[in-house]
Amino acid sequence: MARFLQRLGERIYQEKIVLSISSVLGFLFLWLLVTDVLGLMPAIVLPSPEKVFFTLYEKILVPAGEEKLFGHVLASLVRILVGVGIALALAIPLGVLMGWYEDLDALASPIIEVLRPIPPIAWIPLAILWFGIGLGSKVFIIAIGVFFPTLINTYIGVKFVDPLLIRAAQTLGAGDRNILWEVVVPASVPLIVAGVRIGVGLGMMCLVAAELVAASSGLGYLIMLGGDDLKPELSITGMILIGVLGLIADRMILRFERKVVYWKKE
Amino acid sequence: MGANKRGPLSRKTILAVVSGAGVIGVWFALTAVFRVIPPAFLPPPQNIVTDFLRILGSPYVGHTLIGHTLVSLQIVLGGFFSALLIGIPLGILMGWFKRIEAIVDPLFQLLRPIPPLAWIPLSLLWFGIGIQSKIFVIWLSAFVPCVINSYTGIRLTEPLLVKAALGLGVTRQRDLLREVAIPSALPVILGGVRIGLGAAWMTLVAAELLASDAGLGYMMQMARRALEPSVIILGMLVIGILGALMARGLRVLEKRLCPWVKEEEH
Repeated sequence: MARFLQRLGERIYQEKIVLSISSVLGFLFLWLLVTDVLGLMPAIVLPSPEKVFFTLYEKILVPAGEEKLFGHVLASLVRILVGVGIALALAIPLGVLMGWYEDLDALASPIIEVLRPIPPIAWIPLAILWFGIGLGSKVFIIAIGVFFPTLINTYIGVKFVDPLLIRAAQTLGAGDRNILWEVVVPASVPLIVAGVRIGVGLGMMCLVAAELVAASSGLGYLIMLGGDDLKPELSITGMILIGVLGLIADRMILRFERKVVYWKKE
Repeated sequence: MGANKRGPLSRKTILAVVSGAGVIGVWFALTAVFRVIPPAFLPPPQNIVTDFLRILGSPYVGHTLIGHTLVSLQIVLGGFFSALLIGIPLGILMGWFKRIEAIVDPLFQLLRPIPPLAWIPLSLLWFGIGIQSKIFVIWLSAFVPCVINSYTGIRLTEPLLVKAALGLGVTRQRDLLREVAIPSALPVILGGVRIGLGAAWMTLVAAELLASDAGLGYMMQMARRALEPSVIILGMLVIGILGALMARGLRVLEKRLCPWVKEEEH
């Protein structure tokens, strides 16, 4: 019986892999079919997969706009890193303090509750007006995108720390400040990291939006350029790269979390 | 959150009023009294009220404020509801039938890391700058969370519930899905709907900033060109208020549909 179940499990597992692979291959084949083989889609509407692949390769060597592919990736990377850095440096301390000191919470909450429902992308026109179309406006928008999820999660993490931990620390003679830094903050790290993860995802969206609206470099600009020049293969190249960049960022945060929050099991 | 109700004016309320009044006071002082900040940069608060009354009555770049709002609402709701209509059933089927999951999931994982906003240029190429291209990207942005949450919700169905139903004589798969799995997944599904709604608003703004001839995003973009930050701020406020109202509506619906779920977080 056990062996039968095991074999059944293996069979289902294999069937799943076969189905998954054939699904991706089928998708590529269909794409190839409507573009190259049957020519149902003109190249300015949907380029063939190999054209996208060659564009990806070509742009490593030949510039698109003012930069080569690597330059665009680098430009996006700098913006996202600076934006995330600023947002974390502001949001985490503010969240910790708001979660810990009730008066500060009462002062800051009303302002935050008014600003929070505004999508970060809606700040773009104001950001351009304030900071021009350079690095400043993009960093500002990304920072707003990352700021709120990080702040909220930090706040919730600090506010709802297991009271038992705090009482235990008090019994052991810890002072207020010790409890905050040695009990409450470490205990809320998992929630903070979860907030950062949501924030960075949102930040990637803000990056793309900001670069679509006004930029002369970056992956969002590449995507826009493809649309403007009727070269959808360029847009798809940019979309693939931004997807890869987002995945890498997400994986890095997860790995960081596992390292820092070693006590939390999967 | 706080529970110290001593008299009609708690410390918390007083602090909230102080903070709100403080922000507006500083804003007023900097822009209207000392005139440190020029009005093309940040208008004094009273300008926002007068501009609100102005564009409420007479058209601004084509429509009144209400007209722009209706255009935006139509697009958001169109994209959002079509995403629910397709995303939730697809997610449920993926969660329930292993084969459908094996086929759809790899494609989904391939496309998911690309921020929906990044589709805007391609969408413009495919559907033109009319309403369809915007509905398409908004559909995409709300579709992804709807699928993921419906799928996860079904997957998280307590096996004990399924066994109990089987023990009580439910034999047909369809009944099991309809009577057990879907109701138990409902809170998670509605969570996805809420995320999708937020994503839909973000995408709307980006799409309207990039290419449109009406709507709140368009109004804000035009106001930026005309150096009228008060109209930009008005647009941000309307978007924020509408988004918050719709999220509130979803909460109410959630409480109606799943009365067994405990009130969490805020």
